[in-house]
Amino acid sequence: MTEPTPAPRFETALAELDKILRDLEDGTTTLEEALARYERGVGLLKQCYGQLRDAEQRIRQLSGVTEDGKPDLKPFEHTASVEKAKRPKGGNGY
Amino acid sequence: MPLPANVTPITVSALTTRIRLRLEEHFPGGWVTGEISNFVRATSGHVYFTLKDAKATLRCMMPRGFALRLKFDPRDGMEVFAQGGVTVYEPRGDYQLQVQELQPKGVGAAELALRQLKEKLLQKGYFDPKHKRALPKYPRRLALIASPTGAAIRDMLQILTTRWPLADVIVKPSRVQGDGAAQDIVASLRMLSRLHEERTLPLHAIVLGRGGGSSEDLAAFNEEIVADAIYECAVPVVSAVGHEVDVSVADLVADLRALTPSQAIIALCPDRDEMMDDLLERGDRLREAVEHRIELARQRVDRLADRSALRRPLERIRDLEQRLDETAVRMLRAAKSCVQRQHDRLAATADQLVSLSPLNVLKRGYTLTQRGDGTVVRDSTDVKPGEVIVTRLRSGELMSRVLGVTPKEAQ
Repeated sequence: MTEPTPAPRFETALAELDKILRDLEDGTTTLEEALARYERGVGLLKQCYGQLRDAEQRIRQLSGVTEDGKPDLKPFEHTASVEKAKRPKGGNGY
Repeated sequence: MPLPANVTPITVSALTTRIRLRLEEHFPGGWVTGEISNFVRATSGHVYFTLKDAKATLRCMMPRGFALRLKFDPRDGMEVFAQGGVTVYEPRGDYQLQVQELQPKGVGAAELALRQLKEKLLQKGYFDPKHKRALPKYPRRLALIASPTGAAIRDMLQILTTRWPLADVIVKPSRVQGDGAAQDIVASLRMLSRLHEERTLPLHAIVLGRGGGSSEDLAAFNEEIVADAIYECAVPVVSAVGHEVDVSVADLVADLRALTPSQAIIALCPDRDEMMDDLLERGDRLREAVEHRIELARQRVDRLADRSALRRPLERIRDLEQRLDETAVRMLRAAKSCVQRQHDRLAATADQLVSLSPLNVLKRGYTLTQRGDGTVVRDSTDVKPGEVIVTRLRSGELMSRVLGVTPKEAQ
């Protein structure tokens, strides 16, 4: 199994959105440009928001390395006990 | 002159052996205290030094097997307790203490060893802030090295689920305390580092996590091999050893030290809910910025129109003025319809961006009232009695004639 590079989509989209905001707030763009960037900005915003809203965590266990040097990954069986453990959010009850 | 007949001389060896046996019999073992000098670690692995106090000196030799088990690095000038028996090194006729155990005076051996290791790593630049790698702002993939059954892994996964589900999580089970823990941690770090470098499992950060415990349990995190593995790791490492009092060597070498595994995750990952609020705020800024830009354009067109009005006498200028007015109206209309189109599209497709589009406000039961020319009615005084206004609802429009106007003061 080849492991794709985790796409830095969220970070790059956010960076582009902030660049658009700076450009628009500078007020140095032409009207036409401003409208085009607004449109792009709304698209990026939706993309980022969607990623945050829809994200579902994938938890895998690395058991070792296969013969051809690839990571040997399988689902991590700990989710049940995570749900059972009723701990306050953000707390660290040691 | 010959020796008397009744005298039988013995050899040097025989005498020395007898002395050695007597000494060994009388000083079989015990503790001696003194200051170390002339400390030498020979290539054979044996260790030689002299113990001294104000009035005497004692040669000491520590055989390789015992020297290897030394937990600290003895140095000249150090006050120590030495345990061993007295013997004779026959080839030289020197009596010496054959040391089996050496302990530093004052602090315990383990503590001294730790101090010495910290000092050594400091010299090697392991703690230098300029070697600390930057942590990712929005990590896409994290590896957690922890005991698969401990509280640390459970706490980290729990917080990750609510705080940053965007991260792909790789759990690398490892012993983190007891025998073999240091070797296990090193192997885990090396494996993750290599997979990252080979791009078969790229990572943004590694968290080394362990629940709280006694100081002894920290031993693995104070091993030099662990320090090396963290320092050489190709991925930023966060140490979360769960011990607030003692700073472990791993804490010092790591790119970030967190007091607990939970705090490591909090330090490493942004909060999803906060991030969503930030995005909505960016949406507001985006809309305000573009509206401001359109307003600027409108003002400029107005100014141009005013200026041309001053030049009425010339027919040609009047023609130009008229064309300018027409252009201005077209521009405004184009700009407005462009923004309107964006808003419409957003309302239709982005239900989640509730506060972004003014049209979504209509869905909540508010209405938008416009005059015949499309301008938005904000105050009652914007319209005159008898005027026709258009009210936009969630779906459809109403056309109404204004029966009367009540200014705000009159209410």
